[in-house]
Amino acid sequence: MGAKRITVVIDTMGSDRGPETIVKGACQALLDSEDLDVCLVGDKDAIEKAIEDNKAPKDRIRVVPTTEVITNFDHPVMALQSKKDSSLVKALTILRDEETCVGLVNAGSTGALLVGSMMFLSKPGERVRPALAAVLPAEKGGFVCLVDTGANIDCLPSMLVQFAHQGSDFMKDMYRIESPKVGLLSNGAEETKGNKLVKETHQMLKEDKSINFVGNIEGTNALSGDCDVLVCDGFAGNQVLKNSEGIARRIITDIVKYSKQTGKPEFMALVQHLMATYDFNSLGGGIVLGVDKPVIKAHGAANESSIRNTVKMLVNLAHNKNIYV
Amino acid sequence: MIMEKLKAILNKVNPDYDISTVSEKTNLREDLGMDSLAMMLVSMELEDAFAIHFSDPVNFKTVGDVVGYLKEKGIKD
Repeated sequence: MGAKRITVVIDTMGSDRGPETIVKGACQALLDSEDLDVCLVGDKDAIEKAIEDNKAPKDRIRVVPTTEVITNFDHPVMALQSKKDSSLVKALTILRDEETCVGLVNAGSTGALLVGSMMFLSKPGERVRPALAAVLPAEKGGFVCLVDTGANIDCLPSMLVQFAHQGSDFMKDMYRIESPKVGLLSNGAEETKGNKLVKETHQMLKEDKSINFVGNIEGTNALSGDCDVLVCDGFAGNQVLKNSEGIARRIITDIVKYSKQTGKPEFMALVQHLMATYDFNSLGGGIVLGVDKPVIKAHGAANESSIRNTVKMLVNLAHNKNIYV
Repeated sequence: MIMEKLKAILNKVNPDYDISTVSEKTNLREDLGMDSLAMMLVSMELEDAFAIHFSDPVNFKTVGDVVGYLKEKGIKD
């Protein structure tokens, strides 16, 4: 008997680069996992043309045609309620209803994806606010789960405690870390440091014996690997994420310039290594935490490699955590 | 009864909300700090608690708006 097949649902609409790039990434992802099928939702003609262009195995691809798109200019709640034939509504419905579907990739409106995930993928009585996490490479090896990265800009202490639990559960599932170390982003390692939100959250996390709280983490150590989960409000988390991307880009650019100016092409190998480690296209996407099935928000400007890596994240998650299949 | 259920929902959505001070005049965004995600979560909890369905998006500003809406839907206080 063959291995049980899994399906990743991909909303091909709403990205900056158009459905062709998303489909191309999905076709590449099929080469990575033999037990994977993909369900491509969106503009039928564009999807089918991209499938032809990429010579993809058609027997492992299902196309679900839709006529509407939820854009960044739409009000998320109104759009989800009124655009019933949008790619996002269809994709979420398929993910919710079909047991073999292990996750969803979307590169469109973040707000609509968060609200939609909560509407479609949470059970009455178990609903919580979704958070958006990013998994970033740590200096000491392994990864740091930064949560929240922008879904919840203004937070209260109980929300940060919830993010700590969600991030901790995710790292257990994704990387099989038995007791993930949870840190709280602050402007100093001492527990007296921080604004009102951080100080109150610190005390709550300290008293919560169900998570492995290791105290405050300063921005300079955000990606050190001192913690597996770094908790913060969405405003601060977004700054950490974007600053990290900006600094990595700046350093990579400087090395390229130095390599050209000094005529030392050997430094380009270092550039390639840094790009593979820190470029957002190599890292997949942001994970929606707090819903019943995994949903990943790919970068709006994601290229095919990014989509491929994002699908790979979902496949890994499905294989690690068998409740999804 | 409506107010008590509503307070329980607000507390469930976020235990940090100061429910003891909630009245019909309480502004959901300004006084409780609710954002659009919290509003959505409250709407979904209202649907479950009162067996109603929001067929169109509703823009509640105050707790009184929510109570009034539920009464319009035939929910008895």
